[in-house]
Amino acid sequence: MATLQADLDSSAPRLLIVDDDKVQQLVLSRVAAKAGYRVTTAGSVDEAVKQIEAQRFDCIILDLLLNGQNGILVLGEIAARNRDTLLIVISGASAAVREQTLTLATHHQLDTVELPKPVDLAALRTLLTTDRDVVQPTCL
Amino acid sequence: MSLRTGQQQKPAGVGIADDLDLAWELAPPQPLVFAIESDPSTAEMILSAAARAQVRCEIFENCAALLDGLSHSMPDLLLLEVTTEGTTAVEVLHALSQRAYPGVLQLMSAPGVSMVQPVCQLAQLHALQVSPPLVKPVDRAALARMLGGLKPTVSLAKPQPIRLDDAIAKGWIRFWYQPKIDLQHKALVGVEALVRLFHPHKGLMPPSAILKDADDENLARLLHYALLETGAAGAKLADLGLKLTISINSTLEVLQALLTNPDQMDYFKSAERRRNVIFDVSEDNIAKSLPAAQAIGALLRSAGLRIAIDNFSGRLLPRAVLNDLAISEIKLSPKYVAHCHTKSGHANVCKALIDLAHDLQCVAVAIGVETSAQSEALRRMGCDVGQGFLYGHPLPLEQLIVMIHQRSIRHRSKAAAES
Repeated sequence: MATLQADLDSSAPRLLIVDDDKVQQLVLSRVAAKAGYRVTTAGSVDEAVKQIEAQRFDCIILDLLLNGQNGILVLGEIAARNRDTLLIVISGASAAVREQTLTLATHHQLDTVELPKPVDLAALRTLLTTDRDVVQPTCL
Repeated sequence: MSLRTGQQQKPAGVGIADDLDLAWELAPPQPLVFAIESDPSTAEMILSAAARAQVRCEIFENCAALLDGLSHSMPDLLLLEVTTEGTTAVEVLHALSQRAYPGVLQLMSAPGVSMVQPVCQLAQLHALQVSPPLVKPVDRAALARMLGGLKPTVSLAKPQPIRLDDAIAKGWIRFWYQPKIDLQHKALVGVEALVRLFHPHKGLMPPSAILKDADDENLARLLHYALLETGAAGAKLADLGLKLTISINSTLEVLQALLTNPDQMDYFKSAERRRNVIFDVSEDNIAKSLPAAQAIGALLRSAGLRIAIDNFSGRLLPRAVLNDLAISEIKLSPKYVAHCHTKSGHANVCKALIDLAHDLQCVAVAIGVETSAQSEALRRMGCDVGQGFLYGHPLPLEQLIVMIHQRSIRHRSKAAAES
């Protein structure tokens, strides 16, 4: 897990990227940092849960397939601690799995958006910058 | 099955020992269990427990194989392995929720698999009957008790009918095309698009399997789909230089819904599309919807569209209704066409209907033409167009095109030989 040191003040909104693909982490981190987020990354379900327990996030980007584990496991943790967060689910999983993930996220009352893989970075940028207007930075 | 002993009186003359009768005792129906299990030893245990409990059991390797099984039969119990990765379990839940699975779902997992919890939650969200998870290694006695107490209520239930919207969404609906022949000039002038249902496992099924219980909303969906499919077919035929009308079966109610839906009417912006489509509506259906007929006639005229009256006997519709509707074809009931060359009464009816069609400035179409004698009798009566097995069975578009080529070649060869 790592935090991208952007030239941002501490009031910048926080974003967690949960993805086991390092290249994908890097690409998404850059887009998020440019959109003004302080970015933290996690490569597994356990790392993601630790991060969510440790701090609040304004936005979480979640890949569903994580080194033989299922990203769906993180939903309960997010719902327990970060219910106001924007959840962006990115996945190359089947439509059935994506649909069930959204069903469970809705059940947990999470504000969820789905972006299929490969991620359309322009769409992600728009999502992150648009959302900045409505999401207030979270203070610890 | 076993031979049952009994004391009933045996029919005389049957040479069998007196203490036997010939009644076969049918074995009681066995419950059905499906399982998704990747561990061979657990799968083996399930199979042997099922055999002891006289339960039919099928083990599937993955979700796709299970879906295949579910399309044949619905199990009373589904044993579902939940792995750490859990994707298969989530996909299975999706499939079960779509089918409103009424049986029991039993989850099984190795100890400490955290995916069990979200899978349980999802099962409950979908109102599935999920039992408390079994932890591996599965307790043989618990499994035996579960299978022993199973009743075949779900597996013996009548299969759910195929829904029309479902069949359209899954691509099971196709259209086959039957030629319509100009009887006077012996030329192809149009085709009728006929619905065919191709089930991935049951094969070609009668259209009644989906049409008999379909409501107007789903029939409207089918009509919209038919317009798109036949539009593409019409374009292919036009590329070959064939400008043919395409008849599509519908009802007045569904047509009214189409004609009052601006989004769907966008399809008819092109004058060519309006010219090429004829909606076949049965005389029965029009007779049942008489109050709406006038309004629908006005809508049809303003849209520049036409209908054909299918299975027309001339006995159900007053002339005023025929004048109100934008009719382009009268399709003679095959009941009269069948005997038009042998029974003078039927021939007279056919002639009267053909004359009525011409009086209404419509094309007279004979349907169900099966013999040359019928075709010739109809031609002599002045019938314009014939449709039936004599001219061609309904065929997929590609085969129809091949048939058109073959007949065209034969026609040219014959003409050349004659000249």
